[in-house]
Amino acid sequence: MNKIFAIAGLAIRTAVRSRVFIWLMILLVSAIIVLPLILKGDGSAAGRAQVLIHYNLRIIAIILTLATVWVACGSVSTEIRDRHIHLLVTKPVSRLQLWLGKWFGILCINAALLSIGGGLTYGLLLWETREGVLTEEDRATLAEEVFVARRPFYAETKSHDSIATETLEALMVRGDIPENMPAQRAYKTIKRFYQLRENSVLPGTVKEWRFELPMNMGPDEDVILRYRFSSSRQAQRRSTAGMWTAGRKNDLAPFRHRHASYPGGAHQFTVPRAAIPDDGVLYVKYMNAETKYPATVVFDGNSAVTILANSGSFSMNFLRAMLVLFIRLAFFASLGVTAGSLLSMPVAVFLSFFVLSLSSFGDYIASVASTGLFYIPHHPEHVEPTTFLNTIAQSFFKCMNVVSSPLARLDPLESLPSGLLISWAFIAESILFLLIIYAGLSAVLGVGCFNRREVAL
Amino acid sequence: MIEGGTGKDPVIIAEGLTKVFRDFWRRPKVRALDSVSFQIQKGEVVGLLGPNGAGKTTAIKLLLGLLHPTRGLLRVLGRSPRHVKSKERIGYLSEESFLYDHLTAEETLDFYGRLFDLGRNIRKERINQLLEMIGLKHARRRAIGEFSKGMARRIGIAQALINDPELMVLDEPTSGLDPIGCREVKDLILTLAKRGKTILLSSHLLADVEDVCDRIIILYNGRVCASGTVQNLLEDQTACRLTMPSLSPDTLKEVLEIMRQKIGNTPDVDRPQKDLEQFFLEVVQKAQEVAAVKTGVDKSAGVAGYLAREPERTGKTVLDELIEK
Repeated sequence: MNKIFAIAGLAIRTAVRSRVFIWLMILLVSAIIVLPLILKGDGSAAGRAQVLIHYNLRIIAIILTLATVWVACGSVSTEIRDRHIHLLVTKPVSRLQLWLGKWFGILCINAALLSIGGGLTYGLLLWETREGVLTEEDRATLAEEVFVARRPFYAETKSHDSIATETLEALMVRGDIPENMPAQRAYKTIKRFYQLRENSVLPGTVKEWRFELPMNMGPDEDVILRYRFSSSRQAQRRSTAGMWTAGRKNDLAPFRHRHASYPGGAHQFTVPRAAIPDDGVLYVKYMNAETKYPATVVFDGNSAVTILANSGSFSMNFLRAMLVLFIRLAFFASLGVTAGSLLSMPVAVFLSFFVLSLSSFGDYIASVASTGLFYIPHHPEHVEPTTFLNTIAQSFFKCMNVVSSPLARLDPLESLPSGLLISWAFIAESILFLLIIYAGLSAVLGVGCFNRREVAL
Repeated sequence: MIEGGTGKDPVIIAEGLTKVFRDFWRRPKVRALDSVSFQIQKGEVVGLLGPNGAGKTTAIKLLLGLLHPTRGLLRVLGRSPRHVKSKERIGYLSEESFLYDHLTAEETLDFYGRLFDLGRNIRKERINQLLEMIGLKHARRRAIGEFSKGMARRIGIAQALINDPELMVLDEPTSGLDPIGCREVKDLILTLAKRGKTILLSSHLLADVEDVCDRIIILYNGRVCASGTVQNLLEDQTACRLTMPSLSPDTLKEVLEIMRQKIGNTPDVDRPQKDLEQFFLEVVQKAQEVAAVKTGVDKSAGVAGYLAREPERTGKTVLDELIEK
């Protein structure tokens, strides 16, 4: 370990003395101070706090990720370019120790900078929402909506696989499936039809959800019901009146909430503890009560209606978010060190930025991986260009999706500003995917190839 | 036959060593070494000579595991040169001082000491002795980037000695050094050789090699062209030289006359000259006695204690003794 620490120490010294560390710190502090002056939010105290958390932490993550990739790519490749490596590898240091030392050094720099950035953001948040600056009402709203850590509970969903299969078979027998439409695409379309039908609430009709909440909830632990929907009158920007009720299966009397809300955005209201049965099984019903401008309402997807229950403090949630950001940086550091061990600095940086960009285009990559590059969804003749090129493109995007999917999914900044809990399970998943599997594979590949590399060519 | 292959305790064994450099498409580009075979025995000081591009540096890089041989067998201290264990007993001085500019002299030596897993106290003691030996004790907290080429070279020598190595590989060890530095390096090599260390050095300066080496290997175009002990290779068997105190003109005339009668012709007579290096060293030594050096390199304090100590007396290295303490 002494050798690894020696190499890590050297990486830290290099960062500090080459002023990389100082410039990054200046950049971070400037961004943290300047951003709140530019960003205004939606005018509410809660909105302002959410914007502050989201954008400040996002900019910290972006700056540190870019810097990590740059420094990591250079950590070994510049050693080779400047021939410092000649003295390093002629000492009793294995390539694994060299790789680990460089990686560990970058992690230490990241830990320091992330602590400074995160600490400043948290301090700024407390400062901007301190007593005397905001009204008691605003502070209460903040405590209710932002400075919380709520665990989301999702309703049970019905599987449409069997009915979609049966329908597809029936349609095929009747010859109602277009000739050039693959069965897989027809199946997906049919399944999607059933899902939309299940999630649609026509005017005057009712939809019900079943939630299983913890049984040991405290007597004062109210929960939040958060929902988002789309409407058949969405383009007209009209609100839709609805009636929400919650309680036992056949007794929804304990709670009623009537509300006219606009489609598109997220809405929420509090469901009192008294409405939640002791066994934790909560039934929620929505009645489409719009009479003036009747419209069909669609609650699409599993997360369209969620119950949020308090689960720990905001400060701990903030710390967990920092930890996940650190794990993401550890992955990018490993990627950079590996790329720098095998390639020259410019090529290593190019490759690493390519992987980094995958995390930003996760949705697009997932969609191409699923449908292919040239899918034309509304083509009048259902033309399916299943060319060789499309197959190649789809396979390529599937491979990219393997990397981009966890990177896009394991992003703590999607949850923290909304007051959603970043659970230990989420952290464990981040460690498993980003640190153990991806960073581990990157390390194995990097050390393996670096071992075989002639560093004095 | 393998050159130098008669000893029982080989430190380096190279048999049919070949190195071919290839281009991006793996097509052969240059054959830097071609079936080179030699052995270096424990305690030998061997010089690797040759013109530019002869393959000296390639051979050294192969010995250190920086390059991998295309063909042939290579063993250093009984192991593959890429084995980490064998590197614990090697000291390497590269052709140029590839040191970290932002580290101070002390930090540099401490860093390399840590790579050998040396304890804090041993490192501290050795760093002090080495800095004194190379005359840079006063500059221990200056960054290497501020050093002259010669000063950086001295730090390079010190880092190669931090582990008290059994085998030293020195690539152009006197490059960039002033004549005093060159003399000190040569003295150091001789001291280390006395302690039973094995030294392989490559140099363009033939006089340096002649001064310190027991044996030389001359490479040309990737092949061994000549090899053997310095004495055997350089001795002129067709002539001999007499050296005597200065004679009066009459006595000299008589001596020459006798010799002319005995050998048939008159031998050449001249006065022996000091070489320039020796003269320079004497001048600087006198100057140092008058005024202390304020910048650059101090007067060397001789070879570092742990390097100069005779191992035969105790059979232990300084490292062993310090651990026992």
